[in-house]
Amino acid sequence: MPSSQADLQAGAGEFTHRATQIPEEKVRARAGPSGSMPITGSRHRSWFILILCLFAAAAAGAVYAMYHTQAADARSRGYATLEAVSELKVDSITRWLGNIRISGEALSADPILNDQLPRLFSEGAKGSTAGPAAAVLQTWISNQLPEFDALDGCIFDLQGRLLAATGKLVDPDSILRDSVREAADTSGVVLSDLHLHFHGNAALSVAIPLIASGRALGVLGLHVDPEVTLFPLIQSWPGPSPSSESLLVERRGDSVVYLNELRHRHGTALKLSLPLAKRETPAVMAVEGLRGAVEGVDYRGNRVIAHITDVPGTPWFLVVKTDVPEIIGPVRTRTIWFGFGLFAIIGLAGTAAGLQVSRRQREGSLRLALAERDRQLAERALDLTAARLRAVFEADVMGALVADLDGTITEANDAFLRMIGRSRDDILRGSVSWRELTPKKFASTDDAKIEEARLQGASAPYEKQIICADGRRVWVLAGLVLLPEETERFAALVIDISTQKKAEHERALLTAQLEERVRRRTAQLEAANKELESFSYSVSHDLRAPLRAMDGFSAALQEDYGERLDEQAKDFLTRIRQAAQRMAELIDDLLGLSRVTIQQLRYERVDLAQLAEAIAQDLTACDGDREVRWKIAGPLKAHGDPLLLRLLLENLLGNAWKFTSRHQEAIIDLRAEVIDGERTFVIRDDGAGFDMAYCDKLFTPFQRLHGAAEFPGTGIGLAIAGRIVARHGGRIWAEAAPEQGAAFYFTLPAEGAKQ
Amino acid sequence: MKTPVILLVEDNPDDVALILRALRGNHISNEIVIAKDGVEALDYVCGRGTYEGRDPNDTPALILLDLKLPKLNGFDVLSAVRQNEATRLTPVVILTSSREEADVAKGYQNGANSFVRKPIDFTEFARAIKTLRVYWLLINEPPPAATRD
Repeated sequence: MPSSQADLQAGAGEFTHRATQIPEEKVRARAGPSGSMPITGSRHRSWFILILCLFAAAAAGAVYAMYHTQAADARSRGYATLEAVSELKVDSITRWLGNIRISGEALSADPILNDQLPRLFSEGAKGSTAGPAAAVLQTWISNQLPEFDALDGCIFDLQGRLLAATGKLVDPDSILRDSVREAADTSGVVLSDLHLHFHGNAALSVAIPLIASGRALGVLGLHVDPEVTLFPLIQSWPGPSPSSESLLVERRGDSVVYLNELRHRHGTALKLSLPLAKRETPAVMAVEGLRGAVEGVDYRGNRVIAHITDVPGTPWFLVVKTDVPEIIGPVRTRTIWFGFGLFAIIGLAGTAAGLQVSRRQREGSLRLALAERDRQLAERALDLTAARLRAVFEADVMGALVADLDGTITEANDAFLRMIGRSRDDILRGSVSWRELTPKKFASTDDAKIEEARLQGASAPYEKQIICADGRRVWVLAGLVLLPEETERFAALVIDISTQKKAEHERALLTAQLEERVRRRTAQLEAANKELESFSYSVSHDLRAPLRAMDGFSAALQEDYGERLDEQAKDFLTRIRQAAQRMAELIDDLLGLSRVTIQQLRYERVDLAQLAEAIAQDLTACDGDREVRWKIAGPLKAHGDPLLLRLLLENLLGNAWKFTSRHQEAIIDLRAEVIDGERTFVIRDDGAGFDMAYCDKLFTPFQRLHGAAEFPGTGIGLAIAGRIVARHGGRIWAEAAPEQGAAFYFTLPAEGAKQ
Repeated sequence: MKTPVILLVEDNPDDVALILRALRGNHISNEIVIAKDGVEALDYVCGRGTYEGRDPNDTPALILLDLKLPKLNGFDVLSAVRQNEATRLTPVVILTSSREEADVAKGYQNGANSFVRKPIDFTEFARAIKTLRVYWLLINEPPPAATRD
């Protein structure tokens, strides 16, 4: 049963609660005597017994309260169960009655009746109940009996004459006759109250008018047996309860009649009745008009709780009830066990506490001796602390001193005396002052620190200088402590930090020098850049003008005096002009190189493959006759100045283009590879290549590894390429062999790794 | 009808000679006025100094302007020409040795109509001069006189 389980849990909760409380009290009981010792044994004992009694009383109260509330709880749960059962049963009873009525009405209007019934009735009316028509009717009645749980039945005509009957029902009782008469009058199904059948059992009379072709012919009377369905339905109990039962009762005169067979007594149906004077009986309460939950004494004289309802459409009352002991019994058992446990624990705890108390009494005298020993130990510890402090003070680790608040030093250790270059005599004479040892610029800091120590007991360590006897100033780290027993004095701990200070100073000086050097170098660089800028400006303007004159006037000579010059003179003029033009090219290249050097870098994300595609297209467009396969494995993401990176690729790819020009077919390949863990861009061609013996000259301006007749050029391209890669913080190198192609490698630092 | 004047602002006598040669080779009938520095160029434009009494409204048809000049440089001359009401719209072609990006930009910002780098190769140089003359004096329609006033 779920409710009893809940009870158990509640009980267990209560139990643990008590269990934790008791040791607490035990502790207090133990603490009380020891706190007020020494006292006499008898006072102890009476205290102890009093506390124990109080406990027992409190526990008894708690047990009683627990029983009370749990019993009330169980009772209300019992009532709830009874109410639910009651509802269920009333519903079933009403439905059973309703079913009989509906079956009756169905039979009453059955079309089958139309065929046979009129003939049988007319024949039966003529003869006696033993005639052949009567026999047919008798059989028909028998067929109807099971539908109605009926014991027997009979048929009357409208005049009240008996036409046929089953079994022993030759002389129907008055209740059946009354019902039949009412049915004949109203042409409706009539149900009687429960009554005794002639053979001694309870029965319910039912009268059903028989109607054929819309005309009433007679009435079927039946004795319904309540033992078949009704009584079992009332007696049954939905659950394993040893005492619960339901009663159907009715008032008849001055007594209450029990209509059904009872659970605890047999042969009661309609035979057991109680006078209304027995007011404590729930059955009486029911007929007296009480409804719902009641408590009383039942027909057996047992104490019960009950629920009363009336059965709609009948004069009956349903009483469902359960014996009180069944409801309260488990609660009582639990309470007894709980109380027993509780008192056992109190008893045990009391015994233990009693033993403890007597032991304390024995220990009382010992305690005094112990206290004396503790005091001696404390004194010894104090001595030890003082000795330790002295050892620290006199150690040669750091300077230590004691001074008045006005600064006069009254004590100092050797370390401090050595630091300031004074003797112990100076201290004893009182001629050394903390304030006089302090340079003026630290005076205010010092005052603030002394104040800090006065307010907070100690100052945070701080740096200051101290003036030595020989006038030197020593950097120290000092900390001040207010002495607790003499408020007008403080102790100072002082560490010489002049070495660290010196190092720090040197470091700062070095840093400053370095910064200055960097600043100067930067300025120089900027100046050099500016100079280079103006230099290249002049070069581009002024160096070209004479060349133009050389070329221009040579041309004028050729034009104006051509016919007067011999072939050699003309050839010289041509050479002058070629030289001038070549020099102009060199100047332009030099300017280009200086521009690459000077120009500010503008970092962006660049796809080298995309740049290379564009350059390849330009190159191919300029000389479409060549068969060159471009293999560009894009995308090749890089980070750098887009204009300079384009110039870089122009030079490298232009070189590859140029040095493959003598081959019928060529492949130029640009890709990224990882070389020595570094992402490296590689441009490979299968052209003329070069001898690696000269590879160190590759990136020097105007250094050429091929003759101008072989391949045109000034020798500035790779110098520019080298400069661009260097400016990005990368490296460039080449691998080649004569007539086996060349490979140029370069790296560009990844984004975020700017130099 | 009076032939239009070309004002050549050029300090290098070699370049002057070569330009004149190139122009003459093109059978140019224009009168060519040479200014050897910036001040002289502006004197001509404004009708003062050496050119005291010249009508400043009689503007040159084309100004060929070098950038590196003694006294006032090419940019100074250009801004002064643009500020002068009479020559506000006169075609000015910068003819110089350099093709520094900064110079080109500054030239256009100051109102140059064209920027030409003098080629070293005289054949090319002569062709460039010819093209300039053909374009600015024959093909290009000069601003109407009314707008100059």
